[in-house]
Amino acid sequence: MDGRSALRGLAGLLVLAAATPAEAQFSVSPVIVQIPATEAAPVQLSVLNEGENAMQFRAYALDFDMSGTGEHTYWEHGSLESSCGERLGIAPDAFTVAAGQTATVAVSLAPGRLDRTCWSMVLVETSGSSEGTILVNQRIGVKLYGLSGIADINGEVLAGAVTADSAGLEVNFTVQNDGAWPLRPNGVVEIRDVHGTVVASSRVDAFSVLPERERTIRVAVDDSDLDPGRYLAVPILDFGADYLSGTQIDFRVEE
Amino acid sequence: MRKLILCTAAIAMFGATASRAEAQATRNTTINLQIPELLFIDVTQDNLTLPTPDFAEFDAGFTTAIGHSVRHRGNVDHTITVAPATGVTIWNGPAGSTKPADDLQWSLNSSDWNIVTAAVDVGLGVKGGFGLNPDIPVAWRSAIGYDEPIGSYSIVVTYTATPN
Repeated sequence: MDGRSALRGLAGLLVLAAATPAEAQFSVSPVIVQIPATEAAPVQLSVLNEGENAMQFRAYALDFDMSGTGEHTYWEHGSLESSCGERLGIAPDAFTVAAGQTATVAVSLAPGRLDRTCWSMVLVETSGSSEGTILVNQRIGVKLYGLSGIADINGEVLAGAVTADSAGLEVNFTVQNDGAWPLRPNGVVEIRDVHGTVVASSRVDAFSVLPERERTIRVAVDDSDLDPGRYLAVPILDFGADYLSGTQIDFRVEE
Repeated sequence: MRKLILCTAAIAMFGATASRAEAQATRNTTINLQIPELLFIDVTQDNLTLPTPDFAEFDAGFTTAIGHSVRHRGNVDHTITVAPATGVTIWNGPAGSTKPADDLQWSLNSSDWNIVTAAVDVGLGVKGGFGLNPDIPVAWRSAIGYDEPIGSYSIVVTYTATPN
């Protein structure tokens, strides 16, 4: 490498460094918390500062709900009937974490009604610089569920549909949570031919369904090996109960 | 008699050793591992200064855009949303003046622009590292007009990573 090439390489690295400066990077775990009705001990959230400078955080709660397609909407904490409200404690609610260090936030639920599940979102937020036109806050949401006293995991897969276009095959189906506990199903979508042989499949990663809610899931399936003909799409989900739930969707691959 | 005593002692020692070895052979050790759901977020520039507009931009009605990227990863599927910070409905301007928050627009491709009002998805993440979760480039611009008070304006937006 001659001197000019070395300089060009160095300049490239500087541009890359300028494009991706290490700023407020952090992680939080766990981001899904279920607290049993009889549990008194707080859950510890770990907040890791993965940046190069100390970061200030605040932790607070909002109420949330999920639409049928999975979007979250937020409300002031305590305003929804499903809220964990004043039962929820967060300590500390403001703290500083040195670069490379981890802080712990204790999340606790005071005893409450045993006959229903409550849920709130605990948000761990850091603010960016105060100078500029557009100032950016970053936060990570922790889904917090206060479970009702009696285990009630009860879900089912409702009807679905298959669409096919130039982009491929998409199987969509609706999951209904009939129980009092939140669901976090995962599973697979199998494509079976007329003989019942599985000819394609696609994994369904875990997703959340709030109590007494429905959620529609869309799963892309590689159809490149499917010959024209009639098939069944079979979503099979594990809800964490003692049964699997599924449905069958009849569809045809055209010439 | 001495031989008998030695023999008895040897048997006793062997027996003790053998029973100790047997106890060690059947001892199990449980190794526990708790894997939590975790998420990471990093906006590569946490403050942006829009370029000072000139006449061409006033005539176009918008500032030149400026952008940054959202890096994210996790071991759960997740969503990245952006919204004005909680309670923010306006830009703070000079001498107490304001302009509406929905003058602020964002885009993933610098051609289709969206108003920031409520939380909107800017990207979806899958469980995996940066290799499976490419950075999300977000461009920003503001609507501007000749009749707006002269001076500096600022607004706060919030990116949120949430498990699906």
